[in-house]
Amino acid sequence: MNERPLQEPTLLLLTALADEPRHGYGLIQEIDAISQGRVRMRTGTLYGALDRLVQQGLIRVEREEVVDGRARKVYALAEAGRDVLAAEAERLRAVVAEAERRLAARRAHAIRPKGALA
Amino acid sequence: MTQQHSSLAFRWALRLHPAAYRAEHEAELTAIYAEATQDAGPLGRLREALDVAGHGLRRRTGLGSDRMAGQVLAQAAPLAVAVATGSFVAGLLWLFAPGVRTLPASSPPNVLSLANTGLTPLLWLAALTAVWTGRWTLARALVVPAMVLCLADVLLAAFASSGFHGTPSIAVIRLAVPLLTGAVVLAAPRDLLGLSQRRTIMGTTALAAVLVSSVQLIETYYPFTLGVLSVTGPLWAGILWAGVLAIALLFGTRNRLTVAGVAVAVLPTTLQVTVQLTPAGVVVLLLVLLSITVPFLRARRRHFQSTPPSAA
Repeated sequence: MNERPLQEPTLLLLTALADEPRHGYGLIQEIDAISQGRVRMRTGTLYGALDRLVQQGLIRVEREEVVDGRARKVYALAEAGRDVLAAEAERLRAVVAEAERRLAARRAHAIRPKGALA
Repeated sequence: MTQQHSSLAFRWALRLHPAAYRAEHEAELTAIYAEATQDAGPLGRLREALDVAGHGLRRRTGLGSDRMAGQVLAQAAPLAVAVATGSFVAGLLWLFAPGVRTLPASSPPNVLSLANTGLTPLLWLAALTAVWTGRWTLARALVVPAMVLCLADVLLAAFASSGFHGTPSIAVIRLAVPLLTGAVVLAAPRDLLGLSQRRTIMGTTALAAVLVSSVQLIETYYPFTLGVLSVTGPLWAGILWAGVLAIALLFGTRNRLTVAGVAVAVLPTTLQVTVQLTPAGVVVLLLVLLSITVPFLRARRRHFQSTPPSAA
């Protein structure tokens, strides 16, 4: 379990790799899609994050390939990264559940007629 | 697109990387850059190249997000913005206090100084709002003009020798907070920056504002000081900050990164005091060193006894 919540760029990167391995630009596109266009990760930022996550053992370089004359690495989620992402998803799920519970309680309180017994 | 067809800015950005790193990663960086900018205009390509340049400089200086120094900067950045904002905004509000005299707008240095006094707090306030909402790209863009404005003000005043009393150390005192805080914000790895703890940001901003206001109050009642824009103000503020830092770190320690991050965040303010090494500056320096060293060693011992690092 993490000591702190993941920062958004890390969370988005791990999420983008959760279903299948991807290369650098594929990750940029996937993060753009997951965040619904809100987060546009730039090349240097992406590469800094990839360096760190590889060093921390959360992702790994699955293979290197050349496509259309361009060299690129394909990254995959490592087992440790999968655990970290699952723990973060669980944390977020708990927060969402609590938020929904409180909102529902508030709505129920608001529509209860005046003078009605609890 | 191959490297030969990459933009000039991108080729310079690549050169900023250490040679060994460039040899290993140049082809992939070029490929990602080429794909990311295939539909971009000149401005988009320049922004992308600047981001790659930032990555290169961080690799070269050991400030990447995979290094502890980079992680400390990421911890420090939101707090540093909060400290700067609280200080500048409180300073601006004090200008509206009864009896406070401001410079007449009679010469370019004075106009620039007035612009700096009025605009800088607003720029930092806007930067803090951006940090509050997790919009770090905007926050970085806002601290740059704040730094430039302050630097231009101090340099022009120094060259014109008008309305600027003192030695080069006074210039250091006036520039320490905006320039060092801006440097922390710009150097912090972007991939480690996101939404910060709002309560902490709000508390730090309020604390900075209260400390600066306290200093102004003290100055108001001591005849030997020079008024709102005086030099002794930062000295008092530094002493107060060092005390707050000591209390926060000695009694509220968490992990090494937090300890170091808090220390870096208040470093610009405390530097104002220590730069002159007056007796007060020496006291502050000792307080800061003590309040950083003790919790750092404590956290380090806990770190080695327990778990692996988090992913951030």
